[in-house]
Amino acid sequence: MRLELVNLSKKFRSMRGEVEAVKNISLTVEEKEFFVLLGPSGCGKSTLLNLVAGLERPTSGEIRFDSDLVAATGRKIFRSPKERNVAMVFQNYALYPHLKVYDNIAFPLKIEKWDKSEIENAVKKAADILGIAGLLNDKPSELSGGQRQRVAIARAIVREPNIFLLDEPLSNLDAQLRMSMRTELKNLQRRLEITTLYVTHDQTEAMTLGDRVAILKEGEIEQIGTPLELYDKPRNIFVARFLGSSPINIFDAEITAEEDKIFIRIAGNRIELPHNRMEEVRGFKADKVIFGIRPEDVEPQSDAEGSPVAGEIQDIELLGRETLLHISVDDNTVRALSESSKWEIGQAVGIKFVMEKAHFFESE
Amino acid sequence: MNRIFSKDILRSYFFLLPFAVFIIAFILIPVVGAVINSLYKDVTFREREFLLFDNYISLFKDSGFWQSLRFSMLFILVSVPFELILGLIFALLLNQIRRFRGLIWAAVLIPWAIPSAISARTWELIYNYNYGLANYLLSGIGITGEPINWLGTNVGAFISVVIADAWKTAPFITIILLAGLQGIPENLHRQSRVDGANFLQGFQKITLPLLKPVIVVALLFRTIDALRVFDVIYVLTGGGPGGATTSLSIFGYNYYINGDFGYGSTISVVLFAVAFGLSILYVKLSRFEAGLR
Repeated sequence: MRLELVNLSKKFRSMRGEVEAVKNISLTVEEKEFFVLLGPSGCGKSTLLNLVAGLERPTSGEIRFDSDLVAATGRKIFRSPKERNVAMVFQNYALYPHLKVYDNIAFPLKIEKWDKSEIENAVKKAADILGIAGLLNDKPSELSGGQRQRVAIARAIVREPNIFLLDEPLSNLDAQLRMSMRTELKNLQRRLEITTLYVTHDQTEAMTLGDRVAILKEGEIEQIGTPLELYDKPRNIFVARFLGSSPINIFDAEITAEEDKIFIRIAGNRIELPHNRMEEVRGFKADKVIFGIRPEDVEPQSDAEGSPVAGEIQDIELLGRETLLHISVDDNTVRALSESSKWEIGQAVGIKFVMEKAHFFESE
Repeated sequence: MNRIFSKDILRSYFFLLPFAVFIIAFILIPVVGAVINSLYKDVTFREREFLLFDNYISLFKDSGFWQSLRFSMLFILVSVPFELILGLIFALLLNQIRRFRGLIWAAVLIPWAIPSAISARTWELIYNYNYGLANYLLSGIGITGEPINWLGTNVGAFISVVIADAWKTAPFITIILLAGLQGIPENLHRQSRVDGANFLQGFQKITLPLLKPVIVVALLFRTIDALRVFDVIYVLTGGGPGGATTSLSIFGYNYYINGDFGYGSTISVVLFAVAFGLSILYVKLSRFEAGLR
């Protein structure tokens, strides 16, 4: 099932006034795609999910499942969640506390009035897939967080939905469980080939799970792309900052042209720009730019003298195979990832920026 | 170690003391007193005489007692479910309201806050045969040609009393159930909609089962209150016509004001026993529910 959102908006009216949670969003999720909506809390990603589910009515715009309009404000079409045949998993799992695991999973089928034997087969199949066949007679209150999660997912897949909607399904799990469930979820989605829309605020989840990711901010899409596209070619500072487990370095910088060379001034240091980046920077309207570089593209040098930028190590974080250095340069701090761990606090170091990987953004 | 422990226990008893004094003074002593009284012939200006169970024997032979017991049971059976359904409907409606919630909740509670004697007087005016609002409205719509004798017939009086009582106590049930509804996570309702349930299915399969423990509590309170019903009936019908709306409380009260404390106490003890039995039944029931969750 292909999902298409066209100029979708949602306004909420409250006593404090009108809030536009989703602003004129258009996007397409291809058939069998794992699509992630990523953004900070309050960016409208859950509202967007509820609009697709049919739990909220759009203020304007259209939603299509393949060629079927399931919501169109202009033509007064609004299909219920049932008619859309979507399945949803909530952050707190929303298991029915008074029903046994079996009846929780069977609930959507009982509503659809399936035969008893059919229900039993479907529930057993879903429970087997998620490895919870032994828990069918338990009450949700007797289960651990991870088990509840599995029950919620089993209930979602039991009736072969058109679209699978997941609202931060892993955020209530502890770190280890979250990692293993992440892998499992991805494999499950590949195997079942159900179009999936996944909401999260966790960039690692988005990067690891998504075939494509949309980054949302204040109800608008900042950028859509594969995780690598977003990571390597962020369109703006917001996207650049949001992705990456150690945050990107951002500095104010100034461009100066001398003869046929372009230099960039960062915190009193002058760095020459490689030829392949010149065109991009020439297009900028102002001389002042914002310079971004990821910690892995900053190379600390033990010999401070010969480097264009010099600094002093302030702090060292051991991350395992790599070491994150906080290097003070004048009043700024530069984060650098190093594969070596032979660093000391207070050590004078040189810094080399891999300019080919640097990001330039127009300052506002 | 042991000394500190016993000191703590002493301290906790000390904190319980005010409540214990209250219970002993206003509940335990009157109950024990009534039980003792019920064993005597105790009428004003006459000598007290020990009878053992004679009062109880005469009570069980008293047709007035059976009539009021029958009325009280019928009153419970009709008014409590009626109030429960009304309260549930209001609670479901109020639960949907997002704006001015506090104000509307407060407004709903007003009938509960008005003293029964006052609201019963108001209802008496509404039920008045000649100029009451009830007959005015009914004849105005043209449902009845003749005005209804609300308080003067057995059936009319019963209905009048039930309606007046429901008006007053449905808000109480509403508030209790509303609190229960608020306790059901919004996501469960959303989940049930995604799972394909319509409003009725969601109510029947999700809301109602989750509300059950709260309903049991509301039922317990209301049943015991309905068993003891006094003020509304006393003001509206005084127990009439012909004893048709005499509740157990009014039946006992009539003996007390005539100075027959022994027989009045006997009725009170029976009333207490029935209420106590009902409480235990409900508590057992609600524990059973808790075990199911």
